[in-house]
Amino acid sequence: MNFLGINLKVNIFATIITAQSFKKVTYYTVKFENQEYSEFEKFIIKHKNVKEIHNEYNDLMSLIKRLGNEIGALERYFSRNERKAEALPPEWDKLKPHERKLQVKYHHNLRLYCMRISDEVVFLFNGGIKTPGNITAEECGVVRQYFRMANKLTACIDQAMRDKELSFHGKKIEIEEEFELIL
Amino acid sequence: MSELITNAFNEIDPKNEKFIKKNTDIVEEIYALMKAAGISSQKEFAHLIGKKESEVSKFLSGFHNMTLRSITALEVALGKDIIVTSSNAKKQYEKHSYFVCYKPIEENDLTPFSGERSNYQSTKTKESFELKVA
Repeated sequence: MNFLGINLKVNIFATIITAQSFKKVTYYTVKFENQEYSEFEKFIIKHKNVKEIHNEYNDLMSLIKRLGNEIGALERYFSRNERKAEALPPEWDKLKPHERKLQVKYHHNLRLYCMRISDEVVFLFNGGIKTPGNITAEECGVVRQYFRMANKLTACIDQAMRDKELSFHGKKIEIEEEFELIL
Repeated sequence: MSELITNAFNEIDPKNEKFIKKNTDIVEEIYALMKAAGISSQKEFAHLIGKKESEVSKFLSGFHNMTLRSITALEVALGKDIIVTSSNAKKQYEKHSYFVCYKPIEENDLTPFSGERSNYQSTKTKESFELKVA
């Protein structure tokens, strides 16, 4: 019997929204069409009340706030190479934006994927608790989906910036009218 | 902005918030001392203190629970204190004289530099900053 395979590739639309604006940094996130919560809100909802990662979650939120209010989103705080287990000590300047993430390296390994644009602008996406051990995000059944989505979103944002549909001036974002990220 | 996100930042456990504040204060101090010593990279710093770059990177992540022993090792390597207790800071800075420079708050309030030797506590009530001269 022959089967006819049809690739039903449906576009997913997402809008960029301000997550939180602090004195030195504005954090942005994205919200998918027809979804109740943004990506960063989903991260908060999922991890906020998990007792096992109380310190990890609260440390992570504290650092986001501290960088936002006092320090700025300096690159050194975002410098982590996802493929660390396979690589030599990372050379941060050579990392692509999607390879940078904000993470807490504890036993539970809570990870929040993000895209740092500048000292003043950061996108916060979703994340999860990476399976402990020497495995990459791509190999982890928990965070793989968030890692892949973060990669797609950073690629879209990169492209939109190149196409001048999206630009940043200090902490502020300038978006072309009716602009949507299309994944 | 989302109320859910704002609330999440307002509801951070104060113990964790203080830990991260102290931790990032230490990290920023280490970076300042590295810069003052002409150390431009984590790699160079790692070599200086005899650690792997990945270990140094962990120290400077802002999350790492550094031990007093590891901080002391960094202080020895850098030849400077990273942490100074308040009583030691008092002893250290009491030896200095200060000029107090008043910042005009209103348009016509152009009070110039006072130039007088001043006690740190007594200037705290005014909007001012201090210029250490010795």
